Amino acid sequence: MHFIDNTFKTIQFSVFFTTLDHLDNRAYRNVLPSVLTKTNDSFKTKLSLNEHLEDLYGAYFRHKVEKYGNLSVIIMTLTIPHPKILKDETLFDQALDLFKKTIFERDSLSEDVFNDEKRNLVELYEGLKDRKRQYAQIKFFENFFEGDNDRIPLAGSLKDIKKMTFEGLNTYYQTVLNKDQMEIMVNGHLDDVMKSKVQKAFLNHDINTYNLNTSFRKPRALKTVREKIETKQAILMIGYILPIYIKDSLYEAALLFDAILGETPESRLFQKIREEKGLCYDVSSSYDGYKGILLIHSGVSLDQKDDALDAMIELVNDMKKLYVTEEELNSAKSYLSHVYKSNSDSQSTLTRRKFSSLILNDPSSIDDRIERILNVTIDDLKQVIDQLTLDTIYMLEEEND
Amino acid sequence: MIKKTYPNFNEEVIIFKLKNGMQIHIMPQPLPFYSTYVEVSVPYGALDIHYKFNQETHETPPGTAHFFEHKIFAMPDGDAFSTFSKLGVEANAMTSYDQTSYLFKSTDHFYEALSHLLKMLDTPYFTDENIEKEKMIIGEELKMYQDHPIYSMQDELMQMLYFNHPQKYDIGGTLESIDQVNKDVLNHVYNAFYHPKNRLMVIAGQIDLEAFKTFIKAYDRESMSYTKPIINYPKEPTKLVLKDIKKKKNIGMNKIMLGIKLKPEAGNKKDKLRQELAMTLAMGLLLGPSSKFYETLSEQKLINQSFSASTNFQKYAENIIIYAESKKILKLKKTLVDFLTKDLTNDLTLEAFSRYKKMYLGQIIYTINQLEAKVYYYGKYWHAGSTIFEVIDMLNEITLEDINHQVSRIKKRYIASLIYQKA
Repeated sequence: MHFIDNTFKTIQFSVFFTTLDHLDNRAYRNVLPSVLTKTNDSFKTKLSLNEHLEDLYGAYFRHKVEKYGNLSVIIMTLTIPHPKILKDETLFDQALDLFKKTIFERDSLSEDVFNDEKRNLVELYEGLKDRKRQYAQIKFFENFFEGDNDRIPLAGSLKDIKKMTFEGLNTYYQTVLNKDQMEIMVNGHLDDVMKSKVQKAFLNHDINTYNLNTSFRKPRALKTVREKIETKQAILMIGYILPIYIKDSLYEAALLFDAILGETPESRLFQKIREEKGLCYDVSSSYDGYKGILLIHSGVSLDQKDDALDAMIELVNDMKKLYVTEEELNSAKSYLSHVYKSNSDSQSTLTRRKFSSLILNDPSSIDDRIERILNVTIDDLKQVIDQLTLDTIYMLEEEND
Repeated sequence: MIKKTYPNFNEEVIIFKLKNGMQIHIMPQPLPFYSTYVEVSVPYGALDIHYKFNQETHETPPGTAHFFEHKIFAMPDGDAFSTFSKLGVEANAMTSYDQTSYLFKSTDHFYEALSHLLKMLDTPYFTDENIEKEKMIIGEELKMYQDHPIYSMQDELMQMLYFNHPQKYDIGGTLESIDQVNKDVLNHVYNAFYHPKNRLMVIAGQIDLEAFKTFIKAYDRESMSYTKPIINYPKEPTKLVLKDIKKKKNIGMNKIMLGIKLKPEAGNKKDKLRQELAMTLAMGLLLGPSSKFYETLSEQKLINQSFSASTNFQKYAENIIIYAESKKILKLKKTLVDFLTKDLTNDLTLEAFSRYKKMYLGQIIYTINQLEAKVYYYGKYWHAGSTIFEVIDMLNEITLEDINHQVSRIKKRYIASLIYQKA
């Protein structure tokens, strides 16, 4: 049980269910929170639960499945406005009861809701090609993560989704309740009475230790995939292997490199590819410290797509020769310190941060993290850049080209 | 300096009116808090194409407001975005139909960033070269949206709804229209709309009010006299341009977008807000996830999670847009149109209405719990003649009769339908 005290105007009740990521379970893990949060034993239809949520001042459930290295995490959160603002003394008790009964204490799941969610997912996949950015990302991952679990979306493959049964979901729900590691977090300004109610509602909660494993394959010979579709703009994704992981001493340096490369409007990619060459509207990079990878993504002009691709690769190659300047490093430090601090003003991020600290077994404060950022040197950056290897290129381009 | 308090929300707003005409509204956040958000907005947006300024009438290409928003970041000594980044500050800008906003979020270097934002807005620097380059960048932005089914269908639907009103154009304009933007157009827009008297600054988060007063006093100067432009909207017929379009496309799922053209009703700024709020409530009650109709559509497998309905009230152009993806697109269209044009009195119950009001109150609290949304909506409602904290009073004044009246404005002959079917 974790309480996160603050002065926000809402209260969030969250649960995190964690287990080893396994392809056989992905479809069920993804659909389970969707099914759970639509009904419960007191409100047996979606309509009746929705009406109840409206009555609780628009309280709402959000859910997500995420991967942290080799671990799969189901996150479900119920948010309510703070009862003191509304002067409604029953709201907290009602919300706590709802959270408990919807996720933990139920005799049955709704087969109608399951069938509906399954249909929704199948239709989502069938319309995937119409959302080109999302489609390109899934196709890129299929290639970049070849042979790895992450070649399959967290929602599972279409085949796995179609294979799911209601009986299978019920069995899997029991597995999650009985075998997953569980953390409950309540985020908001709670008085002692509220806290004791939460503690009473979730007795016998174990302290978990997590076996997080972060690893990925070695770089291979460059793989290039080009796919044609009817499109107004080419979508480009470039994957690099960067074998620096979240617990490594160079982690902060890798974050700073990503910021310099493509996280801000001052970044190399933004300045060169968009501002100087006018080849795109959006271009950015993202580093994943759980996977040890760095990606570049952009939507580029159809008639200059190859120029854009060459320019991006050349830009990274130049950085491998000339590295970064002291001025760039200082700007990136300011930017990342700002991001760490400003994220502390987001209620949801505080919950997420608390969970990350448990899974990483790293109780560092924000000040500790900022200090680690500020201590990074140009030499650290050089060590990061030296480990970068181009691995996969994916381009979604116009079919008539 | 004026202080307004909103005890129901534990909020206070401190208002400064500067000599140069700009207003500043500050919502301090209790500590501990790291961030400060600043947004400067002007009530000039994509619809303000035709205007009269200094006795002369002007017409600008569609997409000018958005183009201007991009280009005001150009400064003689480089790109303003870069300077914000160097300060470790996140800057952004956005253009809507009726306003343009410039914002940043800082946790440090607040006054350097604020000074930079004001300098940027006080220093128009448009060159032929930087304008030509921006046409390529914005061209790619427009193409990015054209590749997205909802945005591209909305563009097409607006052309089916409107003959003359600028609502028929995308906020960013078209590849052809932005090609007509030049230095003269942007300089004229600057003079007409960006005078400090036309600017609102909203600040929320951590702030030292005494230090702020010192800063703003040093910045403030008397400005030249200024009269706000008058926006002209071309006369718009009540009827539709086109009622039905059905296209075969190489797509994975059938899609429908219904556009309901509403005949605008008379009223001042607050009346318009009240009308929009009542229509938004009506659509939520009739088509939202807690409506019986939504449940029926879902049970009949006519809709999936892509289903959405939105109310869009602009000056002299009001409409409702409904979007869905479905395997039974023609049946869905008929079901929706039949439902929306029948007598809906029995579907709008007092019980559901009261519940929905509670939900709306909660949504306002969720909004003001997030600083960026709080600043944006504060500015938006202020330009519309209210504040986000006063909307709740307006909500309480709305009756079930108001809701029924709004629904009665929906007429079958003014519903346009755009369908993309799998080839």
